[in-house]
Amino acid sequence: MKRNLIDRRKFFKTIGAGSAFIAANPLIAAVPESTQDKVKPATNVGEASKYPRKPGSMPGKYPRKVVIVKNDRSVVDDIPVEEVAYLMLSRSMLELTGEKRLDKAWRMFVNPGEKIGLKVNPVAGKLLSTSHAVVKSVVKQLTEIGIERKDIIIWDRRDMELKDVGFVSENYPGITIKGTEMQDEKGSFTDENGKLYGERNIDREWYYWADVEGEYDAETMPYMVNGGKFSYFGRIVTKEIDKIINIPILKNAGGSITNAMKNLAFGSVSNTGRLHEQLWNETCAEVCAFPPIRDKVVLNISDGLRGCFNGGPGANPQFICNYNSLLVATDPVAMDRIGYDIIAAKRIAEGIQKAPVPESLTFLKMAAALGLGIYEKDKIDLREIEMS
Amino acid sequence: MTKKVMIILVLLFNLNLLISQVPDGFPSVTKDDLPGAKISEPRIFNGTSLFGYIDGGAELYLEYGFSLVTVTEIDYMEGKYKTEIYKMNGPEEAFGIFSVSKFRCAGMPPLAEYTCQTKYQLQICKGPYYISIINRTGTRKDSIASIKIGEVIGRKIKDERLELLSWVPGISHQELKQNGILAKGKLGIVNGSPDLEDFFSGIRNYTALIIRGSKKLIAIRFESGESFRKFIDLHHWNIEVPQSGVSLKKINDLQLNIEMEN
Repeated sequence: MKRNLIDRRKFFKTIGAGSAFIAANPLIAAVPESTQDKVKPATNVGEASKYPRKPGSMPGKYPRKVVIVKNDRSVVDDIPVEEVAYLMLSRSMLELTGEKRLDKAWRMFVNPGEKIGLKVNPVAGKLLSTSHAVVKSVVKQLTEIGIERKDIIIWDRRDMELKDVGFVSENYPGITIKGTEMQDEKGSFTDENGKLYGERNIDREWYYWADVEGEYDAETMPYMVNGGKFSYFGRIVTKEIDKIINIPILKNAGGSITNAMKNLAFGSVSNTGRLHEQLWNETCAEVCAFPPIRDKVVLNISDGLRGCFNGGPGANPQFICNYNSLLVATDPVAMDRIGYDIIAAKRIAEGIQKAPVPESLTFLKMAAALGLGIYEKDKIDLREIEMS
Repeated sequence: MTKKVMIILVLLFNLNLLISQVPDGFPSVTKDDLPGAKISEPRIFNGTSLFGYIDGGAELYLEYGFSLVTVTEIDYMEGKYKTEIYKMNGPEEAFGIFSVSKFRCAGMPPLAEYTCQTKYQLQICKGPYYISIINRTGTRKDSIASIKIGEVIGRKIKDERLELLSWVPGISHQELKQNGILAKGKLGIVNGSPDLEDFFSGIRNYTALIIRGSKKLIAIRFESGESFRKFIDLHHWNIEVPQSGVSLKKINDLQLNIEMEN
């Protein structure tokens, strides 16, 4: 929510309204028993719906539609191949939009002069980051339609993780690369006044509030930026970009997945450590319901060339595999549902689990209830293309 | 300004100092250990600052009981290796992380009681430490270099034997090494034995040793009688009466052993 729009009394009234909304919503009521039997901490998600939706708001121009392109040649010797990724992306874009020309397909979403943020995921390090093959393909196709490199920002929460996996100016000349949490050249997280650099990069007007206190020691604080009950959106999202192209990597997170929704939610706000244990599902869904995400994400491109089926979101090499797939959608909920099916099938094939676990879809049910997309498999318009 | 805020500010001013220190006695690799190697300054994360390294992946380590990790990049024998040395709160916690992180071990080099080598990773559990050495190319040369690095680290750790065999009488050490999973909460179960997620639903404060063989053997040590009772209530069991599909054996007021079909 935007801080200056609401006073304390209104704020708590809003939380009440949010509860009423949840009570009235059968999808949220369908959350499995094991998560239902505990009283969930309140959040300010009800506030998100106060902001009118825009024509392109999530789930975007093509609700329910997910394109998956597979190509066995997309990874060679465990390294994603840029030329193949480029072709897969092109094919996906045409299929998603129904256009015959690639430039027209892209211009359904972005146009020259707009500031475009590419939200990547480098959290697991070099082994399991959004690949350069896919990101460079996106950059190339953007510049081919006239987007200037100076108008492209590759971003995530942590500047140092971006650098660590090779999102640096040498690899992406002319493109801004930045994170909310950052260190200076000496490795310090704080400026000469002892203030975290990260504090400059959060926007205190926009926040996700949850009734869980973030309490961190001095060593943890640089990665959280602030404690307390507020998770502030980064200024990159709220101020510096007009549109977001979300480029997660296809990974499991325990029995569930981390893909489009999680990449956006946990990657856009501060003070997330407090949210993992009690509010993981809620955070994945609810943060995306706020205008800085809901109204700016135009496209989701899931890098499933490589991914993992267990041990995620970290990188455990023995669980990393080649899915050889690229998923493209404007609807992140539908995309995550398809992503879940891919990972669940792999986990079953590898003997990790015996059957899909409905509880793993909880965050998608919540997101659907918030109007962010479609999670039911039978309602998803899935277009599968085999290129190899 | 409150005293608490002052303390936080002072700590923030000294952040670099706090972040760059490896505790005395912590096993590390030096150039003397590996002639010709290029070894980076370790990155160090302790307690909840692990979120700063592996984000949500930190929850699993914190659930087990995590103290500190050093992350070092090593260039050695023409290969590149990322070495993570996790100090857990004890040998049991280290074995727990090891048990849910390994998968289809191609080999178990004799560097410690519990090891697992796959194409791209060597994992070692020794004393309270869980060690992961990740290579880039998956070659035989990488495997050999990883073992050399692992040997160096292993030598610097005093072994503390884990006595887990007594939890489940009748199992062999080999069965424990190959099929043992130790969990201390929901995330350990989800990662190590996801089919048991509902079986432990809502239960806290326990340590479960799960052995998968022709049957599933589960030994659960509860931290309190209350947790024990809650678990029994969850399944609507009566310990005194034979139950359908499972065999229950109350070892004492805090331990329950279960045998069930896979």
